[in-house]
Amino acid sequence: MSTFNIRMYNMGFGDCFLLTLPSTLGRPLRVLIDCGKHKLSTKGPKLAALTAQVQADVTGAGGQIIDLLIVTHRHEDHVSGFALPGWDNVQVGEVWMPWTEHPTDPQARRICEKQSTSASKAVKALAALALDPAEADYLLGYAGNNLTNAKAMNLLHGGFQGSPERRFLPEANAAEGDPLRPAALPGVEVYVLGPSRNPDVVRDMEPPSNEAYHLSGDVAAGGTSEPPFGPEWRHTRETYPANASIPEDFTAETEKHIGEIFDEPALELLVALEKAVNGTSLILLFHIGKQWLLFPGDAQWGSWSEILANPRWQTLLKRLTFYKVGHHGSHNATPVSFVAEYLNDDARVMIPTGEVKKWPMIPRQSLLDDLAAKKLHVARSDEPPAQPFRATLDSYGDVLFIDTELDL
Amino acid sequence: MPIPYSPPTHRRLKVYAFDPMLGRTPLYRMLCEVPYEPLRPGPRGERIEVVDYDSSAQTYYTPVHLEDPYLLMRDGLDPTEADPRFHQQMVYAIASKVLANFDSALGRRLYFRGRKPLKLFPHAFRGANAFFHPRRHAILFGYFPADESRGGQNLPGQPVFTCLSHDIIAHEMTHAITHRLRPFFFEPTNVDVLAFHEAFSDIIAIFQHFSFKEILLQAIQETQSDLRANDEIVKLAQQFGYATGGGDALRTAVDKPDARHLEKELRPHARGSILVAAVFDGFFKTYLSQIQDLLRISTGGTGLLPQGSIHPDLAARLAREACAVADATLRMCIRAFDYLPPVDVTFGDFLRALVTADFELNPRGELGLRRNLIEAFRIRGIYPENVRSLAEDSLLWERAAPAPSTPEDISELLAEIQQEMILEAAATSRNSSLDWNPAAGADDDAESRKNRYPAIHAWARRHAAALGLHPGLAVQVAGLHPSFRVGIDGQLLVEVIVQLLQRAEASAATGGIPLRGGATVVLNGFGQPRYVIAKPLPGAAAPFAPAAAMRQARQTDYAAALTARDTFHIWQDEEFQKIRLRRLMGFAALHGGAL
Repeated sequence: MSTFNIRMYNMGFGDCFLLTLPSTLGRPLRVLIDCGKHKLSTKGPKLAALTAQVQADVTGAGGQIIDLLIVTHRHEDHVSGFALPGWDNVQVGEVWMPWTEHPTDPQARRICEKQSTSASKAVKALAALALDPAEADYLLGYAGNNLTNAKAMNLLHGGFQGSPERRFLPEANAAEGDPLRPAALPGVEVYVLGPSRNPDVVRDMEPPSNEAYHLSGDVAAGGTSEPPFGPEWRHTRETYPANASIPEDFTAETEKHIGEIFDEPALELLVALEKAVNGTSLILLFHIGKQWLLFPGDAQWGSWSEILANPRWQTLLKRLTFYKVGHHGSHNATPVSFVAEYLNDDARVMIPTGEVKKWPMIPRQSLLDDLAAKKLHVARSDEPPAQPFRATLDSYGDVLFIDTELDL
Repeated sequence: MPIPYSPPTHRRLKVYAFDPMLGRTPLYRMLCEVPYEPLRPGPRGERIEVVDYDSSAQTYYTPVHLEDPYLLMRDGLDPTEADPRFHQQMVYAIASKVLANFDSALGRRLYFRGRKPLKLFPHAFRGANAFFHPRRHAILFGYFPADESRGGQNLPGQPVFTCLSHDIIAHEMTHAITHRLRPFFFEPTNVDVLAFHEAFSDIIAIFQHFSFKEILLQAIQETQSDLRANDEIVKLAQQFGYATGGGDALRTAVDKPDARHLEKELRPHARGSILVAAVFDGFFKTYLSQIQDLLRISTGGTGLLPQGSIHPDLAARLAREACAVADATLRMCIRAFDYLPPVDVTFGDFLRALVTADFELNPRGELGLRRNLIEAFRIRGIYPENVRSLAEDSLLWERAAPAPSTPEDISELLAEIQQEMILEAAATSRNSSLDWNPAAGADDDAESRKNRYPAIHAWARRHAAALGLHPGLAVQVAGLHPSFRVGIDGQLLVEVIVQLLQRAEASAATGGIPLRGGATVVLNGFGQPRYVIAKPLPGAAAPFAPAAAMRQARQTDYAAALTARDTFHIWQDEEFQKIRLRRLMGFAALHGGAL
């Protein structure tokens, strides 16, 4: 019986999957989904080593070939590998990205623009704040995930050999529910479950207005930090007009308290931005032979709730035999009801994750417990797995990647 | 001995009619009449104090002295963005107007806790936000440089001031007052609570703005609007600078109402806008019915206006009707407050409170406002729990079971409270206000109130079962307010409103938000409970048990729903998970769109 292989690289807090399918062409067919690692994820193999491994894995008799390259969303932890050298000679058949990457769709441009402006303003503003260095490093690293990742995105939009066609999914005129049948992958069907174009879900892709926060970037905009009224209007406590008085309970101490109120929401803004970009995740359901595989990117609540409310997707998802855990195993990227109702016995589950000290709740223990309580086969990228998974270690003894074979 | 002059009843102050951010040059100013009180430079009054401290620039700006004869002679400074003293004047004027509206509708003079004045900072920080900060007992207004994408006629980089918008000031002021009246309405215990806070602030801002007759008239003339189409009047509200919160809460007032929106909408602003739209709809239908006769009179009975601009006299009458109905709506919404439960409010509770409060005061409901509001709520799917129908008499809060207390229990106490209320009314009337010493009055009141709380507390404990209280948990008397009102029919309505509070332990399941219970008890002048508006905790007497169980389950489910939607907590540690929802309690977070 013929099989195909799914390889999960141990990116730590990041994603990279390679599907290898048999073909009649005399070489295997390859689908690469994401390749990135978060800057704050320091454990495990280095990004350069991992990227080199991926590049080696797509090399065969005909040279370096990827038949279908999929980027679920533009977060650093999904694309940073594409900013490294070594891709220029790779022959790519097609590149799929979420519709929000479309270069001319006005709505896509607006969302993309808003997200990246928001991120760059936040980074500038953070730099201008007098933060404790460790805290600043953390916040900058966190914010950095959302920056344009321009180098990687340029490659994905315009690079590679073979002038691959770029498709932005779901396409505006596509009939919902019909699968894509990529020419390079005979017999393979791919259903696009997200990102939605429904205005209710799209709204979640827009970061909250920066202006709502102190961290608005105004400070960083330069030259405008002058008080709004000239010196003739300004007073200190000492020079306050003689005929007037400051309320007795508003002291020099309480002055400081007022200032402190505005220092609080820095992380709030960054989290909101992170969530907005996750909302653009491409969510794909592959039908390959007997297998039904779900790759939801980092989709979070908004996307999930829409999918689980759609009868067509409900029917198809009941057939799942493989699930890539979303968003590195965080609390609300895998609904509890999805685990309970959709993951069939013997389904294989792969969790691309790595512990980051600052984020002790990712992956979420309750999710791991829920998965363990079912009759599933579960592997996480940073730990040697049991059958039917097989790990390959690097020279330091860390997991480099994990393979699993599925029947066609 | 010379005959003294009597003090004025009102002070008139010039303010911007429209948010200067919107860059509308005509109709720039209006006169705002607020009750007279002596003011110190700031302005610093008895209940609100403007403090112009800028934390971003770490500087104070020159305070305005509204008692200066030059300013008294011309109703304060002329509107200008360039003089911070005008900003202070405007913040004071609009905030005072909101307070005055609450005083008059509630039938008592409203004070902040401990009679501590609320501080208003017109230029608190650089940033395009404004919010009420409970812990600092302050409203903080931001300013920010205009950019190309906004700001109408502003030059890029020119500062834009949130404190120059009537609607922003009124909105934040209402948050502060709501917090005073119901301090737990910013705990996310069910899907409606935070939405209610937002919506109520929007409602007060919109209808207070509509109650300025001259700008309504000017707007009708300027826009050639006859205010007979819903979207026209909504457009007008938006032009007034109704730009607080998410920006277009009124959008849904013109959308086709659909009960399904409410079902799936969890975000406080968006959900709140459904409530705003419902109230607006009730207002609009009432206004339409009020102008039917005018239209018939002016068209020889056809009711069909000819094309072209409408007669100025008719425009004036339409504006007056719109204004009167707006004022009635405003008062009705404020009055409802006394009939709201102390915690865990829902939109349905608000509807029942609106209906009950208005019915008590105005049983016949000549204006039709009550009926129109019920209908507007109905088509948006806002139903109270456990009512048999949406008929008016089903929506009234249930009358309290007869005599859960023996009236003599507290009747003496209530008589005392009423006496004090009368004295205070006398003391604040215009003939004696100069003789009245607010500082001394405050001390006396604090003293006497302290003595009354234990008696009410003991009474509540004795009647715990009838009041829906948990017999084993501590009871806190959170409020004790006498209220005197005159109904449309001229009858005097005397009530005492008692708020009782209880709390169960906070749990991780509810994200650190405690399960609270209690009751608002409305007593008549003889100490007889008329309404017991209870939010029971598990463990309350049998008739309250189903409601208690439902509330507990609802809060847990809501916490789970918030936890699934909010992604902040996933990046935090385990300790944070236990209190993860408390973060959502700040108004800065609410206005910043944390949900």
